[in-house]
Amino acid sequence: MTSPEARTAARQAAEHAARASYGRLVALLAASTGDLSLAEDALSAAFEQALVSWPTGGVPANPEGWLLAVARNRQRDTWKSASSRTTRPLEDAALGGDPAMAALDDLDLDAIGDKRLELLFTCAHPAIDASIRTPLMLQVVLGFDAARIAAAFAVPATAMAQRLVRAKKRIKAARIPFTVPGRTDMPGRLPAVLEAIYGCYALSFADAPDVPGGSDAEDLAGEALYLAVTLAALLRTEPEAWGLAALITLSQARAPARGGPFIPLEEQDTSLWDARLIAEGEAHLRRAAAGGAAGRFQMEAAIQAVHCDRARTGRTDWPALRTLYTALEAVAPSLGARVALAAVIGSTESPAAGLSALDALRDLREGEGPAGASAVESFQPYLATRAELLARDGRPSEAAAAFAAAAEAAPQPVVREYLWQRAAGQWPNSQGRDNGPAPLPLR
Amino acid sequence: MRYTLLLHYPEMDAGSLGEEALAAGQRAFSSYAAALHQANVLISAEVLQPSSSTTTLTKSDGALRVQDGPFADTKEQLGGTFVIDVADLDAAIEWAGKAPSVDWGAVEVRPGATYTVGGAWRPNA
Repeated sequence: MTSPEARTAARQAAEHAARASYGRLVALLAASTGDLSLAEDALSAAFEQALVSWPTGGVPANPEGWLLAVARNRQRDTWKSASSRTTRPLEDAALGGDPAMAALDDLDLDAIGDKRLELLFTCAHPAIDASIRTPLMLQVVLGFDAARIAAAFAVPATAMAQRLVRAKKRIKAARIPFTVPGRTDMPGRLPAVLEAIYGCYALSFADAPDVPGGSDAEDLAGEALYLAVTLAALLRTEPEAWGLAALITLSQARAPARGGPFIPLEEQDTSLWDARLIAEGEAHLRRAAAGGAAGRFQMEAAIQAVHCDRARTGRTDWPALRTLYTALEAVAPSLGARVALAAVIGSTESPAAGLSALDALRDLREGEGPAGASAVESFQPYLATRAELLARDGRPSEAAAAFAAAAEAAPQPVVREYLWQRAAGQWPNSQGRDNGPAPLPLR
Repeated sequence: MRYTLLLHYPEMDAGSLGEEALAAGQRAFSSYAAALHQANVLISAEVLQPSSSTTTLTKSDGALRVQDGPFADTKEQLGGTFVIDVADLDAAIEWAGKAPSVDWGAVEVRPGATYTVGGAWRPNA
């Protein structure tokens, strides 16, 4: 008979296998059929079967191998009943025959090889709509369910579920391949994968409503870190993949200082930062730099490294930041980079010089049409930077109004709270301020 | 897996195009078809006459209406089709990118669903 303890142990083993191996198993199952929905259904059936048979029969020595074998049998049953397919899946050869006949514990995932990289490139294929790539990765590589993804993206769960189903149908119907692009195609294909992983990380900063199942922000950040480092390691020598790995690792190193009320980056207690992650991030950045021309992610990682270096030197190297933001602006122009550069100018020169840089940015966009100016003026980091620079320039009443406007536009509650306090003329942090720049949403 | 490449482009007549450009276009399509054939992926290809020659049939209230002109009166028209049989979408995209008309208009890559052999339908794949 099944004891409650055995049931608990079986559920924990199944949950652990699900978290650790979901993407690897889906990738293996789908690689031969191109059918992600079928792979996911087969895998979830295998998990259900595990919850039934593990409590009585015991947790197998190789839970992932067991799940793969059971899921593959499910998948094959579905084919047999549904299709006129005559080809046998490629991985049969790799597994040496019918897995139902093989000893389950002999299925060695490492020997079969990791197909997650192929899966990442499938999810971020140019023929897949850019807006669904990150959600698709979250679901099929990381195993997030549609409801959690929908919550993270602030869209209705049914709409997100439909879009995910449509994307998976498209992969199967148009036969989008599960392959890593060759050297010629890699430059055109890699950026979308990096963007989607970066999108996964950026989501952890978004103002997602709480969803059942734990702290999504921490989960998302951790998973994005894992994906970025895995991608870089699997590709070995792609500078931008290492750049992204470095960027996320260095940013995550400061995660312990992010709990509780908002504290601007320059005022954070560096003893809270994770020294091990900083060292790892710096190592990733060195591997990126070894690869030649610096791209956008490598620049952003270098900016993170400068901030993290304050833990060692006790001061922020503003001239270095100015050089890096100027270079970033040249490689990958964006409103965010321009605003950050203005903030840095506010620190390296004077608050007035920073304000001039912001005005110049607004005028430049205004020249591109009325929509350009309003895009700048509704950009929250612009508003927050402007408020900070006005305060430092000794213009308190203008600063108060600007802080209020920045607070209105802030999506994160802790940032909003901080900016309202600043609007009321308070310094929420008792230690006062250093010579840091504006409170960018970068934390 | 069969894909049909649908070539859409603005229509130009021989007069406005000029002899030389027309000849160059024909040469480009010849070598494209030859390359597809050489790679053993070409099922069929057809370049269509201008939409000014096309006739559109519609049925409304049970009556068949025959009309001068294309179904959709747009600047870009369907100008030709290539049916190819390749491994996957990436291979189809690679061939589509080499279609000469990609310099003047959109090339649509549409996977086939079924096709006929001797009058009987066969599933694509």
